[in-house]
Amino acid sequence: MSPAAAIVAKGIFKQFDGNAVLKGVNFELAQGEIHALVGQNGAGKSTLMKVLNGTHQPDQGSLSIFGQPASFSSTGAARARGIAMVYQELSLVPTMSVADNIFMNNWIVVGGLLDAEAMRAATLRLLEKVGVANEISPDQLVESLSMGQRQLVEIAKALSSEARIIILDEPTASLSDQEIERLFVAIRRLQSEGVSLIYITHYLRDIFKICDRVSVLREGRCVQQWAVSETSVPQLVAAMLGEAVARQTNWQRATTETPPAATPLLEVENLVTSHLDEVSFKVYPGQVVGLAGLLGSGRTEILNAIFGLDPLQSGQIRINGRAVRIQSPAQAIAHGINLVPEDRRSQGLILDFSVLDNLWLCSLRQLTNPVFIDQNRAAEVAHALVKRLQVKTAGIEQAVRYLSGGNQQKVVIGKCLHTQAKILLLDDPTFGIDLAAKHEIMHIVNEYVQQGNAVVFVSSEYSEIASFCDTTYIVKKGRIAAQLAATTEERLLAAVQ
Amino acid sequence: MDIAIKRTALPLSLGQWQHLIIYFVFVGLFVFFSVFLHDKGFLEAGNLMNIARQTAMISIMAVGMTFVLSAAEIDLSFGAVVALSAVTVALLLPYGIWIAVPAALGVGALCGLINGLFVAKVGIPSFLVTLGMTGIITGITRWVTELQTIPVDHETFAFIFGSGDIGPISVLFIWMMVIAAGGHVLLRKTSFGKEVLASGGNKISAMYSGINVNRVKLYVLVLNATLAALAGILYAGRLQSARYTLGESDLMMVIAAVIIGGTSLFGGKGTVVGALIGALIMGMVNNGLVLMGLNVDQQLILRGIIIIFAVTLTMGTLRKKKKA
Ligand SMILES: Nc1ncnc2c1ncn2[C@@H]1O[C@H](COP(=O)(O)OP(=O)(O)OP(=O)(O)O)[C@@H](O)[C@H]1O
Ligand SMILES: [Mg+2]
Repeated sequence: MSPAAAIVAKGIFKQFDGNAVLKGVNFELAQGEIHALVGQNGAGKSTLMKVLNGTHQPDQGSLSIFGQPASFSSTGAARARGIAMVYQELSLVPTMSVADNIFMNNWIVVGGLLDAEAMRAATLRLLEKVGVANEISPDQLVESLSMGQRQLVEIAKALSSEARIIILDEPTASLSDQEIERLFVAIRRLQSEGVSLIYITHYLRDIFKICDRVSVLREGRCVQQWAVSETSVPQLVAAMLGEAVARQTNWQRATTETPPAATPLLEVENLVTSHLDEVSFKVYPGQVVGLAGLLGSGRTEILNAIFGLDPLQSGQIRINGRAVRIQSPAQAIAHGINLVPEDRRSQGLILDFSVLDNLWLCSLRQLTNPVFIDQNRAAEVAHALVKRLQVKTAGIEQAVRYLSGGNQQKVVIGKCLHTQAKILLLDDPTFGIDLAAKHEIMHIVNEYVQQGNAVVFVSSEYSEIASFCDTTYIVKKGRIAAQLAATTEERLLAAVQ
Repeated sequence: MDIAIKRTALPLSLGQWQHLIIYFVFVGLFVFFSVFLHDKGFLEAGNLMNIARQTAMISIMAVGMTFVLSAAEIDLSFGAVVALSAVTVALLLPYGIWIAVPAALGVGALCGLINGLFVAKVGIPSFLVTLGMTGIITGITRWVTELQTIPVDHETFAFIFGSGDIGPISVLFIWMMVIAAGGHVLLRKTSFGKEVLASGGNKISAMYSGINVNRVKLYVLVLNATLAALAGILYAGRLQSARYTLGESDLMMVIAAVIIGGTSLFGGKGTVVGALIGALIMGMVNNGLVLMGLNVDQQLILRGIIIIFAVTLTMGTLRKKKKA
């Protein structure tokens, strides 16, 4: 090996409250490479990265950066050595502008005062680099951005510190294919400038498009490392799961043609809100209807309108043929509609609540027998859900704040599943979930619709929509642009443009 | 799925130990005073019941405040409600206990309702609404009483609401335990309690889960003001008089008791039992400082130091956890 590796981590141990998360990880990042890191939810990927960037201090083990030993007491110390990280859980301040967020803690100061103009210009250049300069303005407040846009801002922020090592923890989780392509262009440009990158993802196919090497983390150990050209998706899956034979992870649901006689379970007609224009569609019992579109196309807004979050200016929602008025989530839930929201941390979970308490949140009333909560039944339900969804947790009393990202997402899904909802609105439900668990969730959703329920499914992954939905509506600029029956990923890709 | 439940030898994790610090502080202070104030009679049954008597009103208000803080709201007006309710009950007692007590509780609930409506329907932060209400309520009390002390001359009332003893046990102690037990059950065992904590922990997620967050806020503010009114009635019964200054100095004590007990100032975490222990700590400290023979100035200073010290111990937990 000629130049020293960008990062060498040896024998890293890390435990939280007696739970060993990293159990002697060895990891190496060569200079100028793009190195993929994969593993199941809760394998310890994010924790390892947080050790590398100084968020956590390892209990044992050594680090060296470009050949120099290092031990970081804080993220500031790591940044000074050229390491920047895009966290899985976005860390932007929603009430501040994009420019402020990007230069947070790294302000451009002239004579003791902030140079807003310079930061604005620099922000614009960074946004150009990630390819969204015409979509996001430096002065916009972060709270007005969608999840995917926030992810791109977060990446721009990592670029601002001129890092030599950039860690991307599931940067594409809520981006759709086009946005991912743009991100790849930006990543390749960085690579050509000599930056080394670590790229964590659950989209194994992407690894083969952009990475040079891949490491597999399983239960706190680095179990395999390959050059990308020497491995394959099934091999990666097998290594992640620790099974000799790869499990079936592709999912093709047997899609059905609608029996036209039945009344639709959910029908929306000419919905108009501040984001939507004359949106109409029908969902029959037993159906999964997909909504596909780019970031900001209005997919999420359609679900929000049905769930009573955005007031309707006109239009109608009918359940089982009867018109209903829904003005709040509480009313929606009372009408048997439930939503898995797009942002688990700010919309789906109470982070300081236990797994158990989060799981009941939507069904408190059902679990209350006249006055008191039926704790035994609640715990029973929670245990069953944790098992079924493979939530990796120290116990149902564990606060969800300390679960890994994918496991938090599973809790959100579990919480919405065991209500008595007849209609589930899923906004990117498998966001950040590993392949095996995704498969299980697809199973559960399939079972759910087979009982005569209905699902509206939004996803940024077109392959998921193509293989799972009975019919798909293409959303563009707040309107329904087209309807496609059984479709393929390629056709979807072309249609959403 | 294999779940990594590898536990260390400790039966409790570090986080859980830190939750118990408040109890150690309580026991530690108790032992300290028992040893050093032994000859001053700290441990005598009479003195202990005195502590309970002095703590009862603070505890009852702390129960209400636990709900308010758990829902990530604040109520600065409860001290004013205490005085208004005490004065109301004192003024109306000549018409009978059955009129005076419900009227006083009703006045308190009404104040809470006004607070709650402005917070929930108009969307004004509770800090501002209750700050404004403090002025209004105090003004009314001063005006109605013309700054006079209203005497309470009603034996049954005084017995039930403050001055009576059942055997060796003060009725105030019974009131305190009943309210604390009720509050504990309400917060821990009913869906309302969960809704309060959820609304305070993450308003948006709670709303998405179908919880009517505004209604929860309204209810906690009404509950708190009603309990403050009960405290006012108990003051009137114990002192056998009512005055517009009652409750004025309770704000710091009550909030300190709740926070020391482990309820988060920022919502989402609350414990009634902790608040009760917090209130008892405050009462014990007051009593101990008096027995030590310190003057009022010295008491104020020492009490402030002890509060900050106790909060540091319990809040230190929070900071460490957030960082992890
Ligand atoms: N601060 C913490 N306190 C306690 N446990 C933690 C903490 N951080 C992580 N863990 C635990 O460590 C394990 C690994 O978490 P980590 O976030 O590294 O997983 P991951 O591989 O990134 O998973 P995902 O794919 O879901 O993001 C999880 O089981 C999690 O519960
Ligand atoms: Mg992670």
